[in-house]
Amino acid sequence: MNDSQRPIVVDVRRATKRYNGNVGIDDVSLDVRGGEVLGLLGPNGSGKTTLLRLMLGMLKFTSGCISIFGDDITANGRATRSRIGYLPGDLALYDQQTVRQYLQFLMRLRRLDVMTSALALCSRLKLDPSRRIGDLSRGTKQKVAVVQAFMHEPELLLLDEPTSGLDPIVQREFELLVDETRHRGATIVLSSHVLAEVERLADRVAVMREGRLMVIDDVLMLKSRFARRLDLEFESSVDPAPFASLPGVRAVNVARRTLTCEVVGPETELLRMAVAHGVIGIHAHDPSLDDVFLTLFDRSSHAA
Amino acid sequence: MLLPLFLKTIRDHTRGIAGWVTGILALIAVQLSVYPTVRDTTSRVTDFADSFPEAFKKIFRMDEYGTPVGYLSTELFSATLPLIFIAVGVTWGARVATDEIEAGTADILFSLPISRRRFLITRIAAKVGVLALLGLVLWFALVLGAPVADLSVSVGRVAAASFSTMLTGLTFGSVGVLVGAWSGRRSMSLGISLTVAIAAFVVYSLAPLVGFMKDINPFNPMQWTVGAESLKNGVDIGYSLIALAFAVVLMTAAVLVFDRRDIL
Repeated sequence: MNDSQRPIVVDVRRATKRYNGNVGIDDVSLDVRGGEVLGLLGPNGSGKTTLLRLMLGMLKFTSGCISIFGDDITANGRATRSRIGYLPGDLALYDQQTVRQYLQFLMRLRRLDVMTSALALCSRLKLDPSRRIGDLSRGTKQKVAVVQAFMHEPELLLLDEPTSGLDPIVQREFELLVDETRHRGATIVLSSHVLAEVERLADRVAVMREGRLMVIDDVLMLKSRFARRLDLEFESSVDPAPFASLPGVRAVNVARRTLTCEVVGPETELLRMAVAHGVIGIHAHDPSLDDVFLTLFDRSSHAA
Repeated sequence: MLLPLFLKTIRDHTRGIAGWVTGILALIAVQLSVYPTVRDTTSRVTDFADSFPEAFKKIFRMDEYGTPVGYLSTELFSATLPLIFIAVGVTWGARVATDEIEAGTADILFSLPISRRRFLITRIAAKVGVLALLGLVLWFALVLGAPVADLSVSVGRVAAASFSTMLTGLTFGSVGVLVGAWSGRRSMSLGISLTVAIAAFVVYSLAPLVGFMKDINPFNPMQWTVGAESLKNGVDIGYSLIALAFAVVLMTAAVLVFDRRDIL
């Protein structure tokens, strides 16, 4: 874990963006190191897209700055963007073109010929490049967006809700692609409003809400801060008292033979005790985004 | 210039361009085919033209309706063709900066290593190219069609008139380009540039009759182009340069404004 030795690829310093008085993002600072996958997690309107579009120079800062590969993006945007692949959240392509024509058009504007790699990606995602984009379903268009973001093997990928509309099999393929891309050394920032997705893909998570960065932390560290709900089913009725006294366990309730509780941190002791009491089934509920916010808000209000 | 974008822009609008070309050709065909009848009844037509109120004759510059130049001026170059070219210039101008933004396709486009300035310059070039093409079509059609209709006009003067007409479209189109680059909205650009064009046309038309309009008419793009009456007088270098400078200044401003705006 020599993370600190890796170069900083994306450096966001106190970035603020307001549109006509509305806050897009407010005083966000974070950095992303080379080879890292950073997940941006938050509900719609939390500022994830604004942050990504600021990184691409599409939006102008109200204040603050962003450097990518060490260059201020407002100074040298073109050179920087040649090393970036972007997948937008609100996807719009040219309906009258075929997939191949569209990819070719983008390559020409990039002054690159990466058709071989683009076609390999198409076949990987089971995307027929000869089809007219206007005839494609939402999910298939999303595949086109994935291909154009990855085809030139960029050093940095900015992916805005990349799996939306993809069926589970393609999602799996996409996750493999993200893994491979990370292993060849590329850096990835991806946004999502699904915690489980970010958890699977990202090394670190930045949680955003109403334009503010609430917390940025290692996925495992962050997850250990959230309460997970467990339903434990026993052979016969069970006494809740010993469970409630375990560290990190709270909100213990017993209904008939089922004990429900919330656990923060490691579950080892709880499971050990459950086995000792003759548990026959366990259901774990991963924290939802709402739970994440509740936990974070609880903490911040306690701290204040 | 971004050649792939230029070619794509032209290709995307092939049908629209073909429509305007057909329209211009049809208009010229009709006007030329009517000409022999008009000429053979010159005295009556002149009487007929004379019978219009003085104001009306001034508005449509109907002074020499019986002559080939007067006929073409009145029927084509004083109003109909400039309005067609304004329509082309304004609708295209409104789209130059806005259509990719409104369609959402700008998202991926501006994530590419291309500069916004070059994007807009390319789109402007495509627009100017189309106006120039329509100007050439107009010129060729009249030059080739006139002998068939037994109408004698100078090739050079028709070229001058076609150029001025194209310039009309360009000046008002550049208003559309600037408003579009600033607002990012096609409807706003279309609305404002059409309003400007109509106001300019009214001022130009009524200038011979209304004192204060006569005073402001020298500042009117319509006067710089249509008002030069190039079919009669040849290209008015001074006015044409003013019109060109006007278009260049507006489009340069558009490029600068577009570079600084948010792509939403």
